[in-house]
Amino acid sequence: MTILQWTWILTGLSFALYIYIAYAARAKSTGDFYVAEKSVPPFMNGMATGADWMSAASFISMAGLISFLGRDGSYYLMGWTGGYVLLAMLFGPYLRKYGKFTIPQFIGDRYYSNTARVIALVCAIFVSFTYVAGQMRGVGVVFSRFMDVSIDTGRDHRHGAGLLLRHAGRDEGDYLHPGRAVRRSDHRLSDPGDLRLHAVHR
Amino acid sequence: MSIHATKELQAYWKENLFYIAVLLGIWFLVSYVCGILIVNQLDAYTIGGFPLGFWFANQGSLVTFVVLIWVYVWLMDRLDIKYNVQQ
Repeated sequence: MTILQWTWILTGLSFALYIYIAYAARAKSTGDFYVAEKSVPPFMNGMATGADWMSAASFISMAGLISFLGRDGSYYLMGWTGGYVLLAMLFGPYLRKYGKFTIPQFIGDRYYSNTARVIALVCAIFVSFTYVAGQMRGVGVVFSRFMDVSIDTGRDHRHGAGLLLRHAGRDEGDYLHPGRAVRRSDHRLSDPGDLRLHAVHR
Repeated sequence: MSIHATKELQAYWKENLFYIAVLLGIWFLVSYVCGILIVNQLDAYTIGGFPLGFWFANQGSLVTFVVLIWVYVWLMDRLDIKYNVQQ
């Protein structure tokens, strides 16, 4: 067997495993969806969120952008990471106290306004698209090298598999991130007694 | 529960805003001022072989961000205990 055949087989097997984990530990409610019914210790939850962000967008696209732009790329670096400080100080504690999962939910309730909720939602969609654009390209590059196909085909393969995973798990998480999978599969084993509310920003 | 004592809550909120103002001041200083506005002047100095302004933009500000979040969490935990509103 050639290296390429082995690559296809191993990639297929690992996708099958991820789909199985996603299906076996699928989310049953909104609370389950975002914070695993608060049954996971905050530290684990933080690790899962951290792992979620270690994606193609940050590893490949951000690194590529910075090496391509040279010193000017520092703006992205500082903006990308500086945003976490704003989130932690201006949003995190209040999301947590309101018991909300997403910023649009929180803004709509806090300001008693559906208009504000919609504006926050539109902002969130824009942020997601910006993020996903980098991720799609990064994933396409990785898979094209890996499976010896064009970048577009690689991207399509990856996201076809992603679609399956999402339907199997009915979860917002991306099961290609090990932290998420661990969190999902772990939360059924842990004690649901610990109800510390731990809001996760998305 | 002291949570209904409005005056206390106002004092709590005031201290909270003060912490945020100071920490975001540092946040602005290390990234925008040191990493962008006066980056050329800072480059006259070096730290570990790197120009200081470059270092601030690419490592110093990021390290400071992490420290800021830790300090904020620590300060707010203390403040919650002081006003007896901890969870």
